[in-house]
Amino acid sequence: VSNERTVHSIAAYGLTALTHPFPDAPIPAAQWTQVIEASASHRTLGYAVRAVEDGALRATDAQVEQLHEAHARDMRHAVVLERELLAVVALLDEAGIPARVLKGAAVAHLDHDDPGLRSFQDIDLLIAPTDIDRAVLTLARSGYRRDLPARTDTWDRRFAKDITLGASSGAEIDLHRTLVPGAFGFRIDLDALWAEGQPFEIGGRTMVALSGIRRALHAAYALTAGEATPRLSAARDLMQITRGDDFDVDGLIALATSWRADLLLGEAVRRVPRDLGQGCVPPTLVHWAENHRPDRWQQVARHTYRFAGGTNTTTLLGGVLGLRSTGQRAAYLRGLMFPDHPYRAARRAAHRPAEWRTGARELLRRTRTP
Amino acid sequence: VDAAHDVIARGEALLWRRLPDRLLVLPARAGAELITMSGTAIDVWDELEQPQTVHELVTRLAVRFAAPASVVESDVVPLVEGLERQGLLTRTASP
Repeated sequence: VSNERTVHSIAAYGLTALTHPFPDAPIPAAQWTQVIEASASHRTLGYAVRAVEDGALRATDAQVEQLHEAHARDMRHAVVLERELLAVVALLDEAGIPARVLKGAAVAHLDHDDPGLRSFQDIDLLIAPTDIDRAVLTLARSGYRRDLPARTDTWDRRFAKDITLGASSGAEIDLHRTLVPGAFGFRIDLDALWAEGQPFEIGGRTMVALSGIRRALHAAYALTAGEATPRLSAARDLMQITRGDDFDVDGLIALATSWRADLLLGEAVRRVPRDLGQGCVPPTLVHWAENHRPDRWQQVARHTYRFAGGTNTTTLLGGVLGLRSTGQRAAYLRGLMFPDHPYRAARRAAHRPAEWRTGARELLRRTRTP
Repeated sequence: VDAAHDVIARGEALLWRRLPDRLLVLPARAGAELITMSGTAIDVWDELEQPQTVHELVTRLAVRFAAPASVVESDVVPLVEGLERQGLLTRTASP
């Protein structure tokens, strides 16, 4: 049994009969270390701990200790991030700025059986476009520092996917305007995204996450347009959110269709059995995904993303496909190609490569690749 | 006042994770240190999923570990007081 199969089986642990059973005996120490590192990067160490506790995944005493230490590191970081989340949400609340908790911090508490099963490495909050400048200013006044200035004075509220801020604790906070970059991100109806939040509690305070179908669709974005190589935690999240007889499969499909993201949902649903094994997502959703034919616009937009062979540059340039007016497209391209001086100066100071050069190299490489 | 009938509960403003071999608890207030618990402290924490009196807590743990209530009480009462001092447990006095 290869390391990769073991890592996938860990991510799928407890769902159904494992597609790839665990090895019969403890694996060698070097391999075990690789499995732990890979599971940590997939944010699934909690499931490795559970599999070992249940006796399904065999390990020596030393290996168990190594796993527990790695998991405890993840969990120490998780509670530190949650304390930062409480502080940020309190500051935003005082300023009258609503926020929705996205991704790890939300799904760990709402969708997994125990928050210790789902690791996360940063805090993600959804902020309304009309509030985003004020949110950044509010947090900056309290010592949070954004990684780069805005590309243009209206960029954050009109076009940014998210804005990254750093806390003195070392925590990273991403303020999201939308869920993914590029064309698909611009087709998300932000009013509909904000509708129907789901409350949950962290540290005695009530937070609000996206509703179940919106969290499921967000996981589908993460499994496709969000990353070049999606994490197994995104597949597990999608499964966890959609399990249960009362999950609104029709509502999820309708929402994805209305945001022109049915192609991404279909691909994500077809991907989950490859990642976690058969029988993990509702059969009606699998049946829909296997028979679904997305429209031409989505098929074109898909090719601008890294999961479909695109690059960061094509994803960003492909954003014009998702914008509705010529004025928006012109402002977007202007901001991409001619960002304001503070943005360019900050990139230089951070020794980041010039964007136009990186972009040209990526496009050239892609053109030359058969 | 009968302290054995005070109601003990987990503190509210706490961030925590229950791991197989330890319990991590971080008070939400800024600057507070992460606390790692092990042994009997974890058993007390687990039992306090629902608030209960000290007497009930001692009785449950005595049953769970098949130990005399007096022995359990001598271990648990100082432990509960220590966790209270750290802000991890709250106590509501019996009426």
